[in-house]
Amino acid sequence: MTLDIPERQVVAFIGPSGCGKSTLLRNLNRMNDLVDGIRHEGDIAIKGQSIYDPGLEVISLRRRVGMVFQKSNPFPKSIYENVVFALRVMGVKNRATLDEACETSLRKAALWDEVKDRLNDNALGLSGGQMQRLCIARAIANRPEILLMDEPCSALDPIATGKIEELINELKTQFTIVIVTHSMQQAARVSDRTAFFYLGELVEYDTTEKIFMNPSQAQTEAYISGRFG
Amino acid sequence: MQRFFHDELRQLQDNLVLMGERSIDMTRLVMQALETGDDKLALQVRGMDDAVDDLEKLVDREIMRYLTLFGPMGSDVRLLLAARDIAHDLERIADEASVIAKRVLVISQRGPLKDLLHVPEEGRIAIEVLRLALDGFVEGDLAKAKLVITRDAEIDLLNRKNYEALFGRSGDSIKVSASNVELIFISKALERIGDHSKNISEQVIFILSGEDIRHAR
Repeated sequence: MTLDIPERQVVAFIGPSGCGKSTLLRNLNRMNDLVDGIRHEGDIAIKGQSIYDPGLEVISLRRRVGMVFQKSNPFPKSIYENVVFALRVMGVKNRATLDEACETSLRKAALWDEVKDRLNDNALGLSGGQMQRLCIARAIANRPEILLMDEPCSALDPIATGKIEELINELKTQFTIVIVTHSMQQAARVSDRTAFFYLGELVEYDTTEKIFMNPSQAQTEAYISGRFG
Repeated sequence: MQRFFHDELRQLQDNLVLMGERSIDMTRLVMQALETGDDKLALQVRGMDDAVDDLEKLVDREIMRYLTLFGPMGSDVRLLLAARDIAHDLERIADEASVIAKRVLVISQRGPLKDLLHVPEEGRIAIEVLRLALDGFVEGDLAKAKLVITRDAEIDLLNRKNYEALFGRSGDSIKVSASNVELIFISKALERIGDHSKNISEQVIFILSGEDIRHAR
């Protein structure tokens, strides 16, 4: 398969379970390297540079390509320490720098107003929606270029989902976002381009408007209109 | 919570209002052209129709996009369904104004018509009623929408009077008689504009209350 992911756009991967959309997403920052017996063919390039370039460290790749998972996974630490975690790992010690990164990231994640007075509280005390936004803040504190989101709202109620979707719409002005979602409605609402996968194949990739209003492939039409299977 | 895609719904409403304003402008200008015998103005109105046609297509596209991508519910669904009909009625109003302009030019070729019957008054009321219908939509005003339905009868009555004024009338030259036929068509076009305004108001009532009052018996 070949697909271009334009800078500062939201691209959604949709398709039935097992179609390979999450596997492809996890390839984008080489998360699949951790799978036993993994092998790969073809190439993935970011701004022309292969992610398999021997000169490119995986850690620096993952710094450029952040990830948010289906289930929020804050560390059992304070809200503050969660956000600045990656910076501390990178050796940043200056308190003012860390404070600024914490506030900026939490603001970008639309969480600052809700947590600014309790930054030292344990992150595990936040609501599900807040925890997911904290994970987004943690991911963007590292200043990635690309954000991968694997079903980021599947465990959230409609209001928390709405907040994450609003956030995605804000964040795309600064980051390129690739989102895997089981919700076609979510893909339709938040993405600029949509890729439909089936049985490991890319069936169709186009603007979201085209995919949902007038797809070129009969399989895509059947899937989006619920006539699949 | 206001969502980012709600901006698109506002944009769609703005485009409908723009269509409405253009339709009102066309009707106002064409009546001025008739009353002053201004061919240039009539030609200007003929040239304004394409922009309204384009807006109708744009609004249709926006409705389809919103329905497909943003999963509307409740009053948003009613607004989108009604918007399609409203856009169509506004496009028809612009068409009627354009047809009137064509007939104004035909009349003008035969020389000025001294007696315009009740057509100027009918035109004035048709514009008032169209304005009322559009205000009802913009302001979400049920009372204004209902008033349109009542006032449409005034236009129907004047249209009837225009027909009756010509019954059994003799002594007109062939040119004047031919122009009177054009005038009757203009009267009918204004009556249709009134009907479209009424349709728009029925849709406004549907948006605001969910009640479908079309084809009331």
